[in-house]
Amino acid sequence: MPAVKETIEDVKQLESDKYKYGFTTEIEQEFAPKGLNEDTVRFISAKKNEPEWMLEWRLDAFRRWQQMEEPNWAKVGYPPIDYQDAYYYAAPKNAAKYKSLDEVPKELLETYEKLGIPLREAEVLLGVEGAAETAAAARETPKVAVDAVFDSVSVATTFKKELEKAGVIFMSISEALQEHPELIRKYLGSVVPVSDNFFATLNAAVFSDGSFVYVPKGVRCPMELSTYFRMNAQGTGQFERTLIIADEGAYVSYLEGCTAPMRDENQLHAAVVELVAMDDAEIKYSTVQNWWPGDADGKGGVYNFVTKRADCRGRNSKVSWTQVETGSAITWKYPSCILRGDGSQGEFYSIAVSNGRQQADTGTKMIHLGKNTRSRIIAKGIAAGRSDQTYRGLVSIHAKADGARNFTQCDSLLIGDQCGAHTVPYIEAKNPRATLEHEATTSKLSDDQLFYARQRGLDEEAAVALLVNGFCRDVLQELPMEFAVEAQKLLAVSLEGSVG
Amino acid sequence: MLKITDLRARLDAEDDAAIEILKGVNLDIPAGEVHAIMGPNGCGKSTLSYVAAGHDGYEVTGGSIAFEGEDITEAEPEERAAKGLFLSFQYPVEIPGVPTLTFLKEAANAQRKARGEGPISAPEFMKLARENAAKLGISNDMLKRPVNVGFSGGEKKRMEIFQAMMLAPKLLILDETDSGLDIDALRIVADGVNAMRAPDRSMLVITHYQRLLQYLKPDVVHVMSAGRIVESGGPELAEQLEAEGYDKYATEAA
Amino acid sequence: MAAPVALNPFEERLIAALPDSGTDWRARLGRQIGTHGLPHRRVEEWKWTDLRAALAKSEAGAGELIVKGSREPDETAPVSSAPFLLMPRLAAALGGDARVFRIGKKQDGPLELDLTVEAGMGHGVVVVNVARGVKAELRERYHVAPGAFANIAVIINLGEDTELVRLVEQADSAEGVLVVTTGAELGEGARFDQTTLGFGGRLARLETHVGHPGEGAEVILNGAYVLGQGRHLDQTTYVTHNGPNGVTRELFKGAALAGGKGVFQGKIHVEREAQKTDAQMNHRGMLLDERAEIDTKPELEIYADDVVCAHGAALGAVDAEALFYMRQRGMTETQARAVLTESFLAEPLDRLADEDLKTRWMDMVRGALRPDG
Repeated sequence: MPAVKETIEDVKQLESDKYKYGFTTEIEQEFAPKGLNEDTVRFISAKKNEPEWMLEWRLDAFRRWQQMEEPNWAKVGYPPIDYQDAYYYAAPKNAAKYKSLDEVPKELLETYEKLGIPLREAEVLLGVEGAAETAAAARETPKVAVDAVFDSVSVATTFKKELEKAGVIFMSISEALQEHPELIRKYLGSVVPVSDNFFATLNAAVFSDGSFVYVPKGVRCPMELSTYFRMNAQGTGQFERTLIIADEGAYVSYLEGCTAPMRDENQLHAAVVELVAMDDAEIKYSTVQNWWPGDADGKGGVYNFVTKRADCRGRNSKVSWTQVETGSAITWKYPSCILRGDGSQGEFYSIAVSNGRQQADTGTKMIHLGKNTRSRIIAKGIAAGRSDQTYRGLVSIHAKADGARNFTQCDSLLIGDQCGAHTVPYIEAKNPRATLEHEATTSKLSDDQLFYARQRGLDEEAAVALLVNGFCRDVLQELPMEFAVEAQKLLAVSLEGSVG
Repeated sequence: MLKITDLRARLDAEDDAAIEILKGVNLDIPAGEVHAIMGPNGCGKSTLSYVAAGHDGYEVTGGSIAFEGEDITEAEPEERAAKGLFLSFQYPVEIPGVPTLTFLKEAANAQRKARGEGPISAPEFMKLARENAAKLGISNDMLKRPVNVGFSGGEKKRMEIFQAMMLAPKLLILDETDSGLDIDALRIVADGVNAMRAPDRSMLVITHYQRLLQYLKPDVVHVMSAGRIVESGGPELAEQLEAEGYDKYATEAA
Repeated sequence: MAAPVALNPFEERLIAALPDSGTDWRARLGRQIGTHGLPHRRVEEWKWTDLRAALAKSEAGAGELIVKGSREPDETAPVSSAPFLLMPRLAAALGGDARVFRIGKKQDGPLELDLTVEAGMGHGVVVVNVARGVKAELRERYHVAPGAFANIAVIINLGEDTELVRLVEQADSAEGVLVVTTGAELGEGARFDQTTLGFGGRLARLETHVGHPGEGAEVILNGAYVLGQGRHLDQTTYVTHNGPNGVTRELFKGAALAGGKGVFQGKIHVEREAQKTDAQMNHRGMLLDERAEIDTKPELEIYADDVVCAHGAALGAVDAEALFYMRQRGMTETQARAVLTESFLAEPLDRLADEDLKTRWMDMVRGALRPDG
């Protein structure tokens, strides 16, 4: 026990100086007038020079949102959010005018450099610090195309030309509205309907940017695509919208990363991600979420209320969600798969770490509609400090889903006796030829393992990090390699006072 | 190498009711020597190995432990490990998800760092691992599997010796390494340990039976009973114990 | 929170039976039902068991809960404090005096209770107190006639070092609606060993809450069910570990035939003080036909770190390989299926000490699996 107790003492202090992404960028920005009303929605739409139908779509969402009530079923608690006391649009001045990377102000380039996200195509390398060592040893450094979203707008997208050659469209959703309005009109809101839930509806009204990906028939996207979200401005929320379509037989791997400065106030992040997979298409979607979690006393931090859903429309389509969730004061997030096409597959691999006063309520929904659909859920939760963590998931087998199969494994690890770990799985089955298997365990970091590792020479923090990495291995190996290295480090940093 | 003086220890219980398990142990193992401690179940042999390695489940209530002349009574387990103290566990711990080689490389480099040495290179480490594994009949597959997970009792003991070879400690404590081994496995393990014998390396073999000692040929045999070392002698003492049992010491202690 | 609901006639009749003003808990209960109605699918704990819908068109009027026991209650007493949950509170408000049974040192055989509602609605509260150090057995049988509604609260108090084996048989109640809510409080060192066998009704819910003090106390909750056409059975358990070193084991197994719906909701709640809790919960269900449904929520809520808690849930059909094997040996497919399903369901019942009861229960299981005889 004492060994663990000491670890807990270390872990209790979520030292804010360990959050190396907590800086702010000094750059002149313009804002929408504070508050939220129809004029705000019109302001955003006008800023983006959107077609009339888009404005109507937004206004419809806003009107519906006004009739909705904020949900309270998740196991999280926070003071009421004043939706009028925030900015819904913040952008670097003249952002819309950047024609090429050369025009992007150096403050912004420096910001991304500092975050380890290079925007110069020549030196694109996602795996930051040390990742290179491993990655390079293993194989040549892969190319990654990056879309950088700074507060409300996309400031740069790399490798567009090269991707265009392959027929892949990768651009900010604002640009896509101008250049491919027919695709946007067809797919936007087709997976997450406008009034799906309170936060998704809010997003539909005020979303300002995000990424758009279209991979045409039979194309295997030649490189990893990645969007890097950065919240910077004070008193703003970030409402991005991501839409990815993989047409028949297409494949794409997409990564997203998120960070925000340290602030005393709570900032709202309400994103919507929609994925569409047609026949034989595959989308791999990986997230490393590291929004500012607030300080050790729970002051500040991002409210991360996100709706992510994939529609496996096509036969034998496949969507795989992998997430490493270490940031945010509150997380409310359930990346889901609607397994509509016969033989379609959904996967959810998740590591969630909560420390300090963080609250995380996360999981997935696998809706089996088609025949022989398969889903697999591996969720690893680690709760430390005074945090609370919940796995909440739904596996639903509908009457026509002959031969559907699901396997779910949820494991929780508690570090210290001031935190909580909860598992709330919902399992619904209406087909006699389906099989489901669900296993869940909750345990603590083992004293025996800790001592064994220390006897071999590892100090306590290294031993904890190693054991936690072992605990998460099933999920870590699902991440693209560059991300996996970064994620492992992130785990260590999130859990300890001095490592990193 | 290891000098234990009047060591007293008890279980680290929240209340004060815990009974003393070690009641004044004295032990001096010079460099290069192999010592054995034999004794009946419950005499405190395994506790001694845990306390020597710094397990915080026990509280040292008196006496001292010195390693190469330096007092390590209060040192953290990893500090002792870095100084060169290796404990081969009676019950090796399973660590799911952590491949054996990853674990060992982390451990080796942590020890090197603590000693102010640079990290071992990956190819060098792999070469060493292959050589040592071959000596013990350990397959590549076993090395890739998570630490001790799914191994039989005998395989776990072999992996402990493998780890010792990889980490090259100055003092090797073998806690009931012979338990759970069949005769073939026992020979492999014993050969591995014998191969590690060196003028600057000491060993402490803790065992209930004599059979491992037939292979290891200790320089000194100690008998432990009721938390104390009650007799010391040459290898012949082990044979005598095997023939006569521990009854004599049990009554003496009582 | 939720907006007020428009009451259905059944709810209006219920409220009419409660005092319409005042501040006591009965009046507050009336206002609560008046605003929110009876539990329905938008209430998390009743997500899959929509009591409100099941009773919406009920014509059940005044009725009576008939309790036939192997002996008379030791006393009948007014319910002094209101149960916390809505349904037992309603049972207390409308069920008159509670029937109190005390089990002391001397007992000849188990305490047996037959609880039936023949017509209309019947509410009632039964209290079973087991004195310190006593080992006892309690058997209950529930039956509700077509069109009737029974709402029963069972309060069980186990003193220190007591042991209670509780065997609950919920007889097939085709068009009846039944809600049994049990609250069991255990003293240190007590053992509560419950097995339920249920065949459902238009809607039936067996809800068991256990206060687990830890320290040598042990809770076993087992159950089996077979649900035929139009039958719905909900088994909900909620075990709260309040102290350290507690052990809980739960095993539920069930089968749903065409048109049958099974629900299992199990929650294990481990308080911060309840270190070294060892809790395991398992539910395994089999869907035997089209239009069968089983919904499960095995939930862990854990605030203590040094615990070993696990739950498992599996749903599926009979093993096709085993089926083939048995047919190759000469059984008909129906027969092979029934045999496999029976042995699947037998596990939670295997531990019954009374061989006669075990045989009778297995016969009931067999009968329910072969609705056509």
